[in-house]
Amino acid sequence: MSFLTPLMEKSWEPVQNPQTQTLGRDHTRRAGLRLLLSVVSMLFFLFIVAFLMRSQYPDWQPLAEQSSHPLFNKTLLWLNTTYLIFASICLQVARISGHKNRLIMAKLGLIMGGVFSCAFVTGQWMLWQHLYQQGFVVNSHPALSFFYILTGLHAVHVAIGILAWVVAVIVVMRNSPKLAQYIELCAIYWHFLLGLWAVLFILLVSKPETYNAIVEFCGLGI
Amino acid sequence: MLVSLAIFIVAATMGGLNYVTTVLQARTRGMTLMRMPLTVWGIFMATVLALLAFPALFVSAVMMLFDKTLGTSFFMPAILSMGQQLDHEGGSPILFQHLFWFFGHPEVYIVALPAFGIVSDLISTHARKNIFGYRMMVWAIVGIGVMSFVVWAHHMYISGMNPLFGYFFATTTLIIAVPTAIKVYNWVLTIWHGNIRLNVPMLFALGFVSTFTIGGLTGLFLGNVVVDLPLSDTYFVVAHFHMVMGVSPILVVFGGIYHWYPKMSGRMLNPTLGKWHFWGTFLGTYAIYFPMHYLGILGVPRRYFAYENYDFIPDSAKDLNAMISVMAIFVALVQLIFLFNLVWSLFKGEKSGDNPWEATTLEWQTETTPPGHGNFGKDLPVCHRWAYDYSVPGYQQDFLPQNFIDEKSESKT
Repeated sequence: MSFLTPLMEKSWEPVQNPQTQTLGRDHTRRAGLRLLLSVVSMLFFLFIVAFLMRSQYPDWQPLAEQSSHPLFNKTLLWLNTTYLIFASICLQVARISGHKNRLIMAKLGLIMGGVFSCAFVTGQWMLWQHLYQQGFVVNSHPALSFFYILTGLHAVHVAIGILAWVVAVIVVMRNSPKLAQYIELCAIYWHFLLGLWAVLFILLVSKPETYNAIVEFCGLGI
Repeated sequence: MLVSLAIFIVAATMGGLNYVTTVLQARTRGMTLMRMPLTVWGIFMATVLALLAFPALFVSAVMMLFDKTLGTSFFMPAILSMGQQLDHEGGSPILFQHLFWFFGHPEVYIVALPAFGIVSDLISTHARKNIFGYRMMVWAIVGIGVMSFVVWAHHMYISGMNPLFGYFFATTTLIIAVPTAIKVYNWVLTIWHGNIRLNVPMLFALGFVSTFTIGGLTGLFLGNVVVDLPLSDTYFVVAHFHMVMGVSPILVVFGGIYHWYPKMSGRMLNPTLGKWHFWGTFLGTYAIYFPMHYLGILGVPRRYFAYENYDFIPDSAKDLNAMISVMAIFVALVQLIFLFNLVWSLFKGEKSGDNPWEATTLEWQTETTPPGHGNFGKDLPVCHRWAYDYSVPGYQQDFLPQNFIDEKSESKT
C-alpha cells in the first residue's frame, strides 16, 4: 500500500528535509504510457462485459462451434497471432539490446517489430475480407458484430502503435540518446497489445459454456 | 453526433492523460501531493474519473453507432415503427443503460469534484483561515472518486433489476454521502471563527454550500429504492439534479472567475455588478428549483410538453410551473450583467496588483500579472509549505505564500 504513504503526510507541520528533486522526463513518459494502457484496458474490459451480457439473450450464436460458423477455421487467426507474437519478441530483443548499447540489434529489432505489426494489421484486414466474401457481415448476428468491433478496435490500436513506431524509427535513425527509451515505450505497448489480443482471441472462440460460466460467476445474467 | 462524441472522448482522454501525468510527475520542487491546493486535487481526481469513465460512454457510443448505421442489434430490441417491423431484434436497452450510467454517475463527480476543490480554496482564502481537516478533505476526494464507480445503477431502480442489486446500490449510494457530508462539515467549520471577507467570490462560495446541502439532502431521498420508485421521472428528480449538479458547480465556476479574473487580466471585476449578479443568480435559481420539489411530490412528470387532461395535477401546479419559467428567464437575463462586467472590467476595472486577495498559492506569486509565457519566468518557484498558511501566529502578515522562506526555521537547520 505504498501509494497511500504520500497521502498520510501532515503537510501543515514544518519539514526538516524538504524534497528538492523533480522526477526525470523518461519517468514521466513511462508513467503517461501506463496511464494510457489502463484507460485502454478499461475500454476493452467494458466491451468484454457488454459481450458477456449480450451473450445471455436468446438470439446469440457462438462463433466457432460448428463448421458453418465464421471462426470454425482458425488458420488465419493463428497466422495473425504469430505475426503479433513475433513483433513482440523483436521489440523485446530491441529493448534489451538498446539497454546494452548494441545499436545494430536494437535497430534491427525495432524495424522487424514494425514489419510484423504491419503484417498483423494486413492479415486482420484479409480475415475480414475472407469472412465478408463468405457472407458473414457485421449485422448477421450479435456475436459477429462484436467480432468486427473488437478486432477492428484492436487493429486501430496496433495501427496507432505503428504511428508511434514511426516516431521511434526517426529517433533511432538520428542516433539520438533517447533511443533506448523510445524502444522501451514501444515494447511495453506491444506486449500489452499482444496480451489484449490473446484475451480477445480466447473470448471470441470460446465455447458458450465457458462464458456462460463466467457470466454466472460474476452475476451478469439477465 | 455519435461520431463527434467519440472524437470528443478520444480528445478528452488525451488531455486527461496529460493532466494526470503532470500532477503525478511534474510538480515543482518541494510540492508534495499533500501540499497541493485542493483545487488541483479536485481537478486531478475528476480527471482520473474521466479517464476511467469515458471508455464506457465510448463503448456505448460505438455500439449505438453500429446499431444506427450498420443495422446491428446490440441495444435495439425488435421494434415496430410506424406499423413497420424494423430489422433489429433481440437487442438489450438495459445493456445500454448499464454502460451509459457506468459513465454517467462518475460524470456527476467529474463535474462536482473540481467545484469541491475550488470552493475549498475560495472559502479558506476569503475567511483567512486554514482549511479545516485538509487531510480529511483529500481523503474524501479520493474516497468519492473510488465510490463513484459502484453507485451507477441507482439511476436504474425502475428498470426491473434484481432487488438484491437495488439493495446493494442503495447502500453504496448512502455510503458515498459520508465523504460528501464530511466535506460540507469541513467547509462550515472553516468559516467558523474565520475572519470572513464578504467579497464576491466568497458570496458565491457560501451560495454553493447552501445549494449543495439542499441538493445533497434530496439525494438521500432518491438514493433509497422505495422512496425513489414513486419519485422517479418527476420534477423532484429535476430539482435534486439541478440543485446539486446544475446550480452548485455553476456558482463555484462564477466564484472562481471572480477570484482568478484579476490574475488573468490584471484588473478586478466590478464588485457592485458582481453582487447584483450573485444575488440575482442565487435567489433566482432557488426560485426556479425549490418549488420543483413540491411539484415532484405532487407527481408532476418531467419531460412533458403539455399537462392538459391530467386530473391529478391541480391548476396551482400549473401556475407554479409558469412562475418557474418566469424565474428562469429572469436568471438568464441576470447573466447579462456578468457578461457586461467581464468586458467592461477588462478595460475599466480597478488595477488588481499581483495578489489582490492576499492568497498563498503559487499562481498569486508570479512576477507579472497576467503571467507571461511559462508563468514563473526563468526559475520555477520552490514550495516550502502547504497552501493554507493563513493567520499563522507570530507573523506580521496574515498569510504565508507557499514559496515563502522562513528565515527563523531556515537558520535553525
